Amino acid sequence: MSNSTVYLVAAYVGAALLYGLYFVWLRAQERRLDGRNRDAAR
Amino acid sequence: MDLKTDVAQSPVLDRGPADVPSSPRRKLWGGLTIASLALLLAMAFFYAPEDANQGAAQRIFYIHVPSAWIGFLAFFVVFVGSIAFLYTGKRKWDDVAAASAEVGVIFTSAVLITGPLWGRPVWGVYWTWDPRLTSFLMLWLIYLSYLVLRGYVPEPVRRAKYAAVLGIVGFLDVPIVYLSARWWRSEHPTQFVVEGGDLPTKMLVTMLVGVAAFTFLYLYLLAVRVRVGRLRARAEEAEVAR
Repeated sequence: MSNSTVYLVAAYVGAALLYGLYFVWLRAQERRLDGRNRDAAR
Repeated sequence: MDLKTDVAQSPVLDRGPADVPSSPRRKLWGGLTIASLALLLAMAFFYAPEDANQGAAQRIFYIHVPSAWIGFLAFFVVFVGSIAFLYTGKRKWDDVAAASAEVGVIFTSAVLITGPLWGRPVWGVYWTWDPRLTSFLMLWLIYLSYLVLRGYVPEPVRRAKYAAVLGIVGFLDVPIVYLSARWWRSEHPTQFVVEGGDLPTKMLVTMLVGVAAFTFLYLYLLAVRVRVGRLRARAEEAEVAR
């Protein structure tokens, strides 16, 4: 793998991790808050 | 205009859990995001030709440039939402502005990750204090401070007002970032797609697919983040009512 390809792979993996982790974090918050609001409504 | 009425007294407690619904188009945006990102990856690696000068690193631009454009779009939505909030006092505009600022910071963070990884093999350095790079870093810091501001002001009306002012003023940096390469000597490639440039058709088509894919991703993340903001407000109101 050439030097340039290493940076290419790092950029795609880095961006995928950033967007992916943000998505997972958002969905986790959404599930937690949904549960909390359901409990409060009872 | 009575900001206090709309922001401070959101009567969500009277409603059931189903009253914080998902956006009806959220699933559509999610499906389009997955399909278009898969297409973008295939095109970026197997359809677009390799740049003779930059080599494989040039393919970073298919995620770098769309992330930057959608970051600008996100901050434009903050700008519009902030003006609409100050004008109408309606909480929904503050919700959208806050959500778009957070999503915009994620997109611009992606630009700041992928840019240096392109710069190292092509320029020989990860970072240089070039006008385009510096003004972009300032933009990222402005919207990061917007999020910090929201976290530090507990009172909802003041929080929304202060954030709206910063959301409007901060957007002034977007045209500066865009025009910086023309105004000052910049080593950063200019807006080759917008200005026609000499980009080969296959590269241009791949870039446009990237813009579409990241637009769908933005719309999807925005829909989720707006709902999270409303759920959070509802939970805070439930705490206060106890």
